[in-house]
Amino acid sequence: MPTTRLHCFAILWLGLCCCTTAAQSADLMPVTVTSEPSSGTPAATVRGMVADKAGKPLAGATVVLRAKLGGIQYAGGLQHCRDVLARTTTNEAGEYAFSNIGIPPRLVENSDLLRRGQPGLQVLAWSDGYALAWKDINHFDVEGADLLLQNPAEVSGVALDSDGAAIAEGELAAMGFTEATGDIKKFLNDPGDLNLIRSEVQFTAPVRDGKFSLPNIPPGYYISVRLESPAGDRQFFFVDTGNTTLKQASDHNSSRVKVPLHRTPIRVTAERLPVVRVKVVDADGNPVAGGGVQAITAEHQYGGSAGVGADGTATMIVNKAGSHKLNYNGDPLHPAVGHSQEVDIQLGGTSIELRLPASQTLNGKVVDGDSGEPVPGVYVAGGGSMAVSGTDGRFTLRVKEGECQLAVRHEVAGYLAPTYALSRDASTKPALPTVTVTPDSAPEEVTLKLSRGLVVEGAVLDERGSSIPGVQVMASFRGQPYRRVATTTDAAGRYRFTGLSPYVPIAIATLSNIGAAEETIAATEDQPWDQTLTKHVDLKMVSATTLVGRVVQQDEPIAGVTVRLHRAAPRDPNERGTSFFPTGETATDKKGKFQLSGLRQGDRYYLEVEPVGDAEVRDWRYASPYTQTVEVANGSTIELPDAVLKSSGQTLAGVVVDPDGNPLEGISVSARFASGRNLSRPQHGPPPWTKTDAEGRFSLTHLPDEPLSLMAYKANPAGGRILHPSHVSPAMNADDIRIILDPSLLEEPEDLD
Amino acid sequence: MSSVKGFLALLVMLGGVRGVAEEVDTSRPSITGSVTGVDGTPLAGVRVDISTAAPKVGRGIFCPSCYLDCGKWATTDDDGQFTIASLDPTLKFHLVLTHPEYQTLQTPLIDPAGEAVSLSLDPLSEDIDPSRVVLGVVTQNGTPVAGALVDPHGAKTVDRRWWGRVDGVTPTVTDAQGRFAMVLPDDYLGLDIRVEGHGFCGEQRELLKPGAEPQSIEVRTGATVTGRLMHHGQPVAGMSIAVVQLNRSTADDIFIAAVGDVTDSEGRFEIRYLPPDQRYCIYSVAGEAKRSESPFILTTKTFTMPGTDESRDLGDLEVSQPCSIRGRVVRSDGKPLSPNLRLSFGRDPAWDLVSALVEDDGSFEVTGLPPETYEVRVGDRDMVMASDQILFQMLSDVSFGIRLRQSIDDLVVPIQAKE
Repeated sequence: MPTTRLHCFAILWLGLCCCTTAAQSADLMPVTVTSEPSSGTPAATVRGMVADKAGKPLAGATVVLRAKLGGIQYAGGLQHCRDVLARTTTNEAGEYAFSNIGIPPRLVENSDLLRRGQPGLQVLAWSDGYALAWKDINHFDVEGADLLLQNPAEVSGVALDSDGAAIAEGELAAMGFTEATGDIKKFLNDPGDLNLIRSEVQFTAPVRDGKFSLPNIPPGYYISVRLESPAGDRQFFFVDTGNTTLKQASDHNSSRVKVPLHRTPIRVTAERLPVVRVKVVDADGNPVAGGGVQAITAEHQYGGSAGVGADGTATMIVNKAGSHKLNYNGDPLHPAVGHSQEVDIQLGGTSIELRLPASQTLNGKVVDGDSGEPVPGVYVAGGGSMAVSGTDGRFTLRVKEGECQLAVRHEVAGYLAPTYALSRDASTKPALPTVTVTPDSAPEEVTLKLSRGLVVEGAVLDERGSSIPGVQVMASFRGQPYRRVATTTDAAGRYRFTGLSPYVPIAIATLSNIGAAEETIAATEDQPWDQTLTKHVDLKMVSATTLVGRVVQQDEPIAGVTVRLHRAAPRDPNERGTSFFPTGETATDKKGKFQLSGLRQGDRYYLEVEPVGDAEVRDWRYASPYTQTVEVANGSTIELPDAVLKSSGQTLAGVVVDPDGNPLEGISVSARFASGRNLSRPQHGPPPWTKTDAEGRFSLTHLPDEPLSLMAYKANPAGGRILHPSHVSPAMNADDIRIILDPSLLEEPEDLD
Repeated sequence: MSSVKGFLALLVMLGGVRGVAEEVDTSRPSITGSVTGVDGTPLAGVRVDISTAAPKVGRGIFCPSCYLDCGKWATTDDDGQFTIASLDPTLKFHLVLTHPEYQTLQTPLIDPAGEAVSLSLDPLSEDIDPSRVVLGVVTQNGTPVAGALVDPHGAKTVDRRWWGRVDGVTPTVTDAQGRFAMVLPDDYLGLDIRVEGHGFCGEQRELLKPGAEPQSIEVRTGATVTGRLMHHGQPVAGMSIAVVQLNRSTADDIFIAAVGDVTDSEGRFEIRYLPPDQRYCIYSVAGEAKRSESPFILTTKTFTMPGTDESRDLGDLEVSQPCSIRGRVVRSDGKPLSPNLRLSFGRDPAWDLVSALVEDDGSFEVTGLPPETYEVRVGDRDMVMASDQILFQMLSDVSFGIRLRQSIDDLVVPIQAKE
């Protein structure tokens, strides 16, 4: 890579920030940075090149740096989750560089992931005639994030409406990409997957006269695709570009809904759903651009959402007709007053004008309560509006008349944000200002002071008391919101955390090949949320104990399986119940082996082995629901027996009757291994127990593919010992099991009390 | 001899099973023996305790340490000789030998009708690591209890946690100061113990750590249950009944198995030193452990035991005529049945062992049964129930359940070879 001189300038314009990087050799192309304000730290630097699959550099390819997140929960009622941090294109040499891209304070989790060396960002690249490629970014500073673009897979076909007619006009959007492993149950959640649900990046293609062709689609993937038309045609489906051998290329269960799976040439039939055409206007009747509308059903469930265009209109497809609450949320970067209105959505379609109430401007400023310095990037909500504080800490809300209670909506990196999660734990409730807004005059400017919350600082010391530089220290919340934050000791062996919650216990731990140490800071329940509390905690390392083991399936080692270590502190005699926390994660190597460290004598732990396909580790005594206690001296290595992945595709079904043949309802039926060993609940899928229905029928699915026995019994409402259960040993996959249960066996002896 | 004095004192204290003569009875045998060191030198002053007992014939259902003879003890004289006299001729006994300078020894079951036994004790090794010793003191109302049996019933090593037999640790009895010490193998992290004996109800402790401070174990006297068996207004004498705890998990309190008695001439029974404050059942013993030949049965009844040192009178309990089950075992492949095939009839909540020998032609008969739920189980390792031919509820591969209301004369039990 050529050396580059960084030249960064910021243009402040209505709270927007633009940042451009230029290289000395003028080689690298300019970078457009998100307009979301940030303090500039933490910042990410990612450089690499884009080439075709033969390694030839590709000039002019689009490259995007995004926060690795996706889903409607991040969008918060808006059109997208503002995941793109920066965009650029490649130069003649195929090179690109994102330098010192500030990560908005809202993205606390993504920064936490990077500090722990886990994927918090992704870099994406695509070009005309080439497929999209991407790479997870695990650190703040990554060189050589090179992307090879494949030739795109052909994804084309016809789209029909529910009457079988070609859809005249519509749009397809590719929303997610997961490697075609034959398992789409965990779609979009695996390392290396790309989830573009509510992303600013969309791969779309028009549907014209029923025909479509999606460009830039990578081969070897399952792609989740959404088809929509302004007429209300909608269908979600999967496209397989992997030529994988599937058991069936028909329907697959993706969470609760069945989603059809297609291969090119695709023939997809859409559902016809109600359409709501919304026109958003201000109090004077002028169209309002930007922001998003969202429909919530009478049962408080998500109904649908859409972005509002430059002309103030939105077309939203909803899941069903009926009474809804229609919400408008302004874009926090261009604040507008929000509004909510009841609407009865008709099956055939509904048009509605959403008139926003009269509003006033509320100006405010967010400052650091200790230093008085401005805090940028804070999402402040109130009076139906939401705004983001700029680099000067200032924000402008458009608030409606009446009482306006201010609130902070997202976490703020390095600070204790008075969010909902915090107000639940603090005994001193965060009291943000309430402003009374009248039609006559603009409200007075408000100032919000944020504290650093709990600040923990100290040194990491070895067993002789010398400080150790360059080791990772982790702070884990032992309560909501269960964050895990990492940092590294400086040259003097010191560390510092800011913005921790004082209202939950915090474990400060360090772990390296030198050893491990952990100290827990008790909660300070009466700490005022707007004042900083500083604690000094030195961590003295002792030798850690290591677990080594292997994951196998049918006697073959399995590589790449995620194994997590959950542990709890040594048992406290006063303790009721135990909380386990994930403290380590690794993946098996080519020999199926894994190694996890950090345990100390007396610690209790269990391991979690991620399922692979439909196989999972069940009833291994080192995995939940079993727990183990470390008995050996610190510094030892514990060799575990193999964790065996077993497939779970067996179904057992039948009927429970009394000796006269009458069906028995409400009888508990549970499965166990034929050897008599218990079968615990799988990590995914239904438990291995059920109750009979009114016809005495039962069906148990997702059972391990090995001989099992069934136990049928009438549950004792008082709990305790199960008396006289019926035990049968059916053939594998039997669906006509007949279990006789004799209720008279349960007749109780005379009681003398 | 001190052993005799101890024995008499114990008799006075205990009361014991009524209707059975305890005094000089030539039909009651003694265990005699000698104790030496490994070099053959007679050892004086060794305490010899009967720890537990078991019936000579069949398996026991009763609390092994609750037989009246348990708790009898002797001390070896200058010649290393001891005698424990007037023992139940139907029982065999484990002895525990203790001496401060020797390793504790528990004998195999000894038949008192047999010859004198010769026992030898190993000296304590000189380098016992104090960090491997579990220490304790047993008291009752603050007073040390001598001769309490301390029996391991579970342990934990780095690799394993188990309950039941513990091969690595010898049971012991407390000394005159109520003290005990048990040496644990090197890899043991903790030991579960039960403390049992006469005059108190059992106690248990989990995972006593070696090398720790002596564990103080206060035993409770326990509760007493009394009552009278009646038939049409007449007391029923010489009938065998038993009580047992309903909760057989050892998680909450010690489970001591059945404790029996035989009614006296007035039909009365009294059972003492029972773990208090929990649910029990009272029932007549129908199986091989039955201790009398009464023609009647008592249907199983449940009740709550009062607190320690308290007594509960169950009042007059009416007995009734028993039921019987006759029938035939049939092999589905027509092959002959294995010789000495037995069918067992499991009871719950009664704690009993009822079984019938199956004749060569498959017929069997079991009599003297109270009307209740039975688990009919085939006692042949190679056979299972032919479940598709059974119209009763299967309770396992080898058993099904029946609710007995009156005698059955034609119970067909189809069995087949295990696959």
